[in-house]
Amino acid sequence: MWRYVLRRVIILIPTALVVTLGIFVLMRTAVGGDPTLYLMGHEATLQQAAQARARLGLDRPIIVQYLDWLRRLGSLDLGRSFEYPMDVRSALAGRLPATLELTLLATLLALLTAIPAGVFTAVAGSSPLGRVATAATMAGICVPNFWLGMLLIYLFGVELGWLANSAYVPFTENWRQNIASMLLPAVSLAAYYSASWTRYLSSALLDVLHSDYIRVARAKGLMDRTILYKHALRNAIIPLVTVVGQSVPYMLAGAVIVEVVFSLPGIGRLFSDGIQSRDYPVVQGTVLLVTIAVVLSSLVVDLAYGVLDPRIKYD
Amino acid sequence: MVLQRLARQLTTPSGEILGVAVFLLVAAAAFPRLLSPYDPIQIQGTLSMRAPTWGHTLGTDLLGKDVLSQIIYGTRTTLLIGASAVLLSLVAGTLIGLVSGFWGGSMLDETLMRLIDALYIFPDLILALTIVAILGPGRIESVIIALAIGHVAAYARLVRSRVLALRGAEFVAAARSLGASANRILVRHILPQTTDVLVVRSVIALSSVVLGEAALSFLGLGVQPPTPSWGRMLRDGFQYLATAPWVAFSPGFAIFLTVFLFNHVGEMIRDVLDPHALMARTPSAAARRPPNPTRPMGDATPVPTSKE
Repeated sequence: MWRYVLRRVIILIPTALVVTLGIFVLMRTAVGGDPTLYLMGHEATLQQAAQARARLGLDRPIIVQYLDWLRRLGSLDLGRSFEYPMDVRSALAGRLPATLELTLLATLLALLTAIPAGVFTAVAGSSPLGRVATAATMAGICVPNFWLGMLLIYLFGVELGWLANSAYVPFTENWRQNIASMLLPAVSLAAYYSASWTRYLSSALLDVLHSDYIRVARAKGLMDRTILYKHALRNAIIPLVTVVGQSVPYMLAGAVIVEVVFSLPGIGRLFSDGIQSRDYPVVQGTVLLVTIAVVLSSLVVDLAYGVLDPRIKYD
Repeated sequence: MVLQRLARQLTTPSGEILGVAVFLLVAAAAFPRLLSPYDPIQIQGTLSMRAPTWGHTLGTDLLGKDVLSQIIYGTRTTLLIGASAVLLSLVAGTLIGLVSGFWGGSMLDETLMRLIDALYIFPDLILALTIVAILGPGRIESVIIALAIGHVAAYARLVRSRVLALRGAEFVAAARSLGASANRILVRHILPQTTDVLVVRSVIALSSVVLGEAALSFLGLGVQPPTPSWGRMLRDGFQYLATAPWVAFSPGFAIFLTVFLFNHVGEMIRDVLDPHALMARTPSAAARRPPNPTRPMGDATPVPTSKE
């Protein structure tokens, strides 16, 4: 198995190289891609713009810039932000906790709601309550998370006045206020996943409940509850593990917009700001981080699959 | 046969509702002037932030512009961007999938698939934001291309898998033995066999693109004023959520309904094209079907069915 893990980690290197080279070249050759236009404004003279480009190292050939970036990457140096007076690694490290916490909380919330809801939807079938649950999951899949965030802010902030002291503080400083400030963003981010995973689980559970070994369990006289929770759910959850693992990078993407709505100091907001201000090093660093997150989450999913299903072996 | 099944679906109560909703949406996009009570960009300072009344059904925004009229005109922006992005990704993805699948296992296939893998690795919103940054924010063409590229990989994989399964089929061997060129086999014989999955995928992709356009506009990178856009309206409305919530509520609801509509239409078409699904139409059966292979932008879940 370790050979398999090593092979997957090694694959990360060419993938990251292709992705970062692509972004690197495209951003620098794009129309209107000159960050000095943003940094200095349109009033800057050609000479001033040229000086700024030289200062930022943008006057060198692109491949030289890329090789320089790669060389510094070896010592985990992602360059300096054009916009903020700090290096990109520090900027990402400073923003990572909020994004990780948001993603983790949203995953927990989505799982805590999706598992019982999925079981309920599968068992309730076409009863009135089952139809309500099915309609609710469909609504959850279609609602834009940024709009849901606004509705929550309006309800809890404007109407109920519960968000008077909800500014983000790090977990280590004040965990109570931290959780309070992260709850609504997590709900906004989790809504889609909760609905989507509910449908997955429900679908998988119904398939399992129609399989032969469940019929055998019924024939042996096992109680419905035992069959459902001990035999069916355990197998039905396996495909959900894949979906949950694969969702992590997409949650990071969703965090971009949720962080903007709730003014959270996370990586998503940093990325969004970086795009608007053409802060190449920040965009490049975030893209690299997302690439690593995608590849690693896919690896974790594969390994978790092997643990949950002993039939799967890695050579 | 398919048309008969579609007609039968459209005569059911839910089919009728979907049909009317699609008609209204297309009508609003095609003839906004006929349906809109006011000019959507007309500024009327005296009517600033008026709550919904009979005169202004959904109220007015900070500049006194009628919210309902902006939503009606915004339908055109949304559908124009949505249809263009889906069409672009459909054409590009299908071409890549056809070529890659037909010459599956070749160096060309390997190269194309590695490029597709590199595209597929990114969540749609991150990819769209990056491409918008590359092409220049605020331009409608940038938004269309950015949203289209996010879907190319899914189409390419979908078509490739279908072509790989079909290229050894008897009808392809027969065409080849009759001297048909590779182009002819691909376009006349294999491509028509992929239309069912492409139609379903495209309708559902529309919902994802609608969400994506709204997300980009909400972040200030999409359509710029004075062109009405639902995402832009949300962004503006968010600033005065406490005093005039209707400005943000209405466009958000329009996005929600449109996404809901396209998802349902996609599922209906899938049922029509797949008779097995049509046989089971109870909610429990609906729950058994895997969710749509869509990855709504910003809050997207990857779906294994689209990753084959």
